[in-house]
Amino acid sequence: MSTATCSVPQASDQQTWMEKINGPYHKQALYLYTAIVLAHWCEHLAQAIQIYVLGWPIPESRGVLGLWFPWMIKSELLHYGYALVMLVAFWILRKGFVGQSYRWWMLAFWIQFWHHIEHALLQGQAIFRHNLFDSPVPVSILQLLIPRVELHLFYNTVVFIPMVIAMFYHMFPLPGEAAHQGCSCAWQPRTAPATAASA
Amino acid sequence: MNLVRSIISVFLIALLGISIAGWIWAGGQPTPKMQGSRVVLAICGFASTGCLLLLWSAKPGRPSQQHPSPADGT
Repeated sequence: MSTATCSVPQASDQQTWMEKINGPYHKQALYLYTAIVLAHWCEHLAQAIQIYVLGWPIPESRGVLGLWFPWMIKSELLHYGYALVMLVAFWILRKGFVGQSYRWWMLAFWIQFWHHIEHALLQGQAIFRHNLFDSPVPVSILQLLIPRVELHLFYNTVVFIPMVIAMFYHMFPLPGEAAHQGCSCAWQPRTAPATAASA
Repeated sequence: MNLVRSIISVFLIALLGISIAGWIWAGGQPTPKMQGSRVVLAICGFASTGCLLLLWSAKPGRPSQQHPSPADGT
């Protein structure tokens, strides 16, 4: 891709915040969102290591922050809130994507939508203090088939993978798609050694 | 940008490792739980591997030659 097809857009006073966040500030917004998603991943991966590698009992495997703040892992409101934040971020940032990257981004959005429904069910049971299916603990639909730790590892994976693929096609747009991107996310070619350090 | 790809790759490799460890761990669980756990952990492992390969398939300044779409499935 040449630099001619992807000049860095400038913010203007006429732009709404949605246009800015999907245009000149799309890269920064994606960096921030990715950092939040990866921080959340750290917790899930830490919990999985505690269970699968260290052999800790599941109730004691609370990730990193959960070791100091045990309420965090038990709070359905926190889990639901994060699922909602992810869903809203997917929706807000969608217009910065075009073509192939847009399709993958929206696939991640719809999978996250279902993930959020599952957390809403858990949150509802916590609010009404009545668990579905006479379960001793709040349960979601797929939790009837798959244990909770593995299920949410799976949910986060099937949301994260299309999200990464969307960002990949956003960074490396297919021919013809780069010109339609209104942001500076696409990778600029390294034309000279002096610019290599900034890539 | 290579930094971004590298950071995401670390997480994908960690996910692959966790999926393998989880697969082994699930072998000690009761059968219904083991089957459910192993199915989703296998999907996690394959998906992370595929994503990792795709992530490093592109070179700067060269359009990607692979065109999978969501309809192809992940």
